[in-house]
Amino acid sequence: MTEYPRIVPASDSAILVEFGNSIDYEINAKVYALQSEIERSDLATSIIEFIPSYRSLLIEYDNSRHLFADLEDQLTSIVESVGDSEISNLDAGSEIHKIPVAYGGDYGPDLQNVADHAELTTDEVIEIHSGTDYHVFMLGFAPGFPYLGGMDERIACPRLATPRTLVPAGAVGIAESQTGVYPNPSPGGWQIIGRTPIRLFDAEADPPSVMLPGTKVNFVPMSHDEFESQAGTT
Amino acid sequence: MSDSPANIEIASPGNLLTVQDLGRRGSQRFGVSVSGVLDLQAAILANRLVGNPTSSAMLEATFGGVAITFDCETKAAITGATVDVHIDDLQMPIWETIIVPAGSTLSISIPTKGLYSYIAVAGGIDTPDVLGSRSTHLGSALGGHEGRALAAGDVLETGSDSSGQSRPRAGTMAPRDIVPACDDDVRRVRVLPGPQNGNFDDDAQATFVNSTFTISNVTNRQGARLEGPTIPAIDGRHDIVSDPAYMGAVQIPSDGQPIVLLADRQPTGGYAKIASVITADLPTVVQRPPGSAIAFEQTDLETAQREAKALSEILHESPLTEPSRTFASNFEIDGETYNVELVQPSNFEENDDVGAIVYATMDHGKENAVRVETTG
Repeated sequence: MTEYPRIVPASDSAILVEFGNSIDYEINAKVYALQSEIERSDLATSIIEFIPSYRSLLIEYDNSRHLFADLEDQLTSIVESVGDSEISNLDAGSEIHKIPVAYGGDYGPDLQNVADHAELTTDEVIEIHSGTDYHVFMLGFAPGFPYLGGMDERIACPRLATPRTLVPAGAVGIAESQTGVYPNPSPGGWQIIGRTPIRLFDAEADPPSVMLPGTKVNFVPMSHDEFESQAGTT
Repeated sequence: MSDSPANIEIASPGNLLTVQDLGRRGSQRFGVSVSGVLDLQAAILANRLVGNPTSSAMLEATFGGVAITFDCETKAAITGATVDVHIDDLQMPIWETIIVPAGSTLSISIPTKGLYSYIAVAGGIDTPDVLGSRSTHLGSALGGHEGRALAAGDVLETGSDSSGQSRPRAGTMAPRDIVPACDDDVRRVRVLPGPQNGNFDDDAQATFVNSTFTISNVTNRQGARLEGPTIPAIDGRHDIVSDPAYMGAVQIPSDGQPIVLLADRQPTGGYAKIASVITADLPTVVQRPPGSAIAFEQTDLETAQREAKALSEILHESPLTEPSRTFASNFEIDGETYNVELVQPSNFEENDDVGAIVYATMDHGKENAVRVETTG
């Protein structure tokens, strides 16, 4: 068995710190706790950037100025303190970001599929999907693309047999027991149940992503008319 | 020669021509790829040769075939792959500061060695700053010129970036201790164990370092895809919980064929990483074109970090090589004597029946490119 936390020199310019090997809130919370502890420490100036993920944090540093051996001791003590700490109240104090979604119809062409698969009505699917707070485990794959956790298993649904060649920006989908939003138009095989008029990724904004790693989001149903008027103004 | 902005027009983009700098840093946590130049060694030297900071944006050409027209006299340097460079019909050197005269066309042939060429111009390429970088990321249409590859007819403006010192004289060459990565096509590529090397048993790891792979035709800026013996994972554990990705990571998807992740990689990925290419050997990986061979050998972290530091020192601190072919002369017009210093490009040939470009500096004034016709 691997012992966690584990500090691995992933390359000659990156260190990977792993807190586990599964998709788990507590493990993920430790990833973000480590990132903020390092940002507050003397180590911060040695670091080029962080990539947080479900279960690990990649720390990239400038290997023309620093050796792994120079960073290891201080990093180890920070990792141990985070690893030992009790993280009981995840996201305490952080606001739940609300994302308006127009469900069904042209905005969610696969809502009926999901309902049929779940043996529920479309209204029940909407109620379940919008009645849950989702944890943003990480962003990756594409700019602003969130990996969300916490979807109710009752509305889990396999991917489309044939992926669409184009899914519009803001499309909200389900794939197996995951839900997510496409920040930009792209091909995709998720069951599309709705669409948000909110622009999830904007390179001009600071931060550029509406959904932030390590926080929570919630989907709020909106009417198709409201979508039209909001989309018209954004 | 002034530093006022020039317009450069793409006459031919070749296979793929993009604006790149050292990459978009600090936004991977938002899912934004780093992108940036692939051959860091060639790119840093191209910028130094024109007196830019190393962070300036330049053009990266994939497999040559590029032609660019300049509206103003501009200092430039071409590094990277071994290519023939011409200003109009005159052959010019690579890895050297050149002056492109106003109205002339700079063209770059298909490489005889290597894959990527870097074209730096004095002042840099001035496209909008997007999240701290001008690099083009094709997959997400961010940065560069409208987030896309350059096309014939596109016009770019040069910027005013400067290293703070006077720009190197035309005819200045790269430091003598630099070996272009494309000339290093035999040596094994050194790797460190990857973070999921435990997903591969001893036999699979031995196969990885004892085999020769071929760079596939679908290799791109996102990753160098290799073809060779299949590398099996223990119990088929090629898929992992999505984990951070980084430059040089060697991941093995379920088909068992390695992919070396490069500049346009996604920030996170779900395949096990068996190894990591060391920084010092990354340029030799990226400069090997499709169809060429590649083999790996294990090294240790201390060696890798020592070599990374040594390479960085050479790249940033080794002095550029002063022009070797310089001639002082003077002439008289209307009783006034003018002193002129002439510099010949390193590939200047006396017997060239086409003519040649020389650089002339009058009375310590500004440099100019002068076309001379040989009189036979």
